[in-house]
Amino acid sequence: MPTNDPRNQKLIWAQYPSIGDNVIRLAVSSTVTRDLVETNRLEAMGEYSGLIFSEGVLQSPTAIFQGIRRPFLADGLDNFVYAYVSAPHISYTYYLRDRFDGTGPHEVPAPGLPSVFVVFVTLARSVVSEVEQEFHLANQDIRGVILYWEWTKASATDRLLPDGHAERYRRRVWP
Amino acid sequence: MAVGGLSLDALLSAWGGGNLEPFSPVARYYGTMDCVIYLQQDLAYRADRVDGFLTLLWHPDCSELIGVKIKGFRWLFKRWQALCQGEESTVPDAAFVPLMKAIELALTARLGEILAKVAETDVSEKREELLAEQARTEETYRQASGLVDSMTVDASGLLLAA
Repeated sequence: MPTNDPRNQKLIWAQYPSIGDNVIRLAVSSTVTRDLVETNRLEAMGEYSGLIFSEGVLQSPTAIFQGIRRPFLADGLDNFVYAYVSAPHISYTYYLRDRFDGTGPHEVPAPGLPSVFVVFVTLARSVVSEVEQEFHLANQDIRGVILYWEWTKASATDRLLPDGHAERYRRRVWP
Repeated sequence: MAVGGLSLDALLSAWGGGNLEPFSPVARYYGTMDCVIYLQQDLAYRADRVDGFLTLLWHPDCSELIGVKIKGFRWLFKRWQALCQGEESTVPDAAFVPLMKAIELALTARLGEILAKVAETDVSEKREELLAEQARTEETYRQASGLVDSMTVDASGLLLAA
């Protein structure tokens, strides 16, 4: 499996949703990174840096689901959204002082109550094209865009899956 | 413990810079996921899906509600605009939407779905099950409303897209 390149921190290697031994390259949405910085969400930044970038949770997910169930005005876009599920034993965060100390991210306990880490990714070509143009990534073979990530309550019957996954997502594509 | 990886400065440079301040409770519209997230604490919250509109965000280690996620926000916002037009009133100060209003619209839509199912069934057990679900839904949304209080969210991005 390839490792993520510290010289280009917006790009992340991930498993292709339905094929375990294929990898694709993703870019993180600049809209979500701006939202997180402007709202001072250091925890979410730490999760990106520690879990998604350094630990590479998108390369070895415990499950991948396609399509999220919710009202959405842009018809069909939800079907291109994939939820990558993993079950790390730790999480990461930054502290404000890291800005001046050149440090971080810092290891912190994963949620004490049963949880899984979910990363939302879209493979919609229109979204990928926007990101390619914005970051001048046309020659990087970007296949998808990371939209958001969060810890989610785990299923009581399978601690490696989100609670109520049958209601949350349209179908499971991996494994 | 610090681990190898991206320093905060390196991450911020890659993400286009920006100034960081100490965290304070905030509601933000995340356009990539078409949802509003209101968080009172910057923690690794546990998302707990209630239905297609509402997710409760819990403290990672205890049963303290620290935030809410309102999904399908664009749909709810359009619905609010349509309702205001129907009543021949304008959306008041639409750039800042009260989260309470969004939760109220989501609850109305959700109850509508449940009551439609009630009307469709003639099995009394199923009807009672649905009415119990209605009561649970109202209680959960009340909990979410209590948390957001008078918080608003900047929806100017939605206005530009409309």
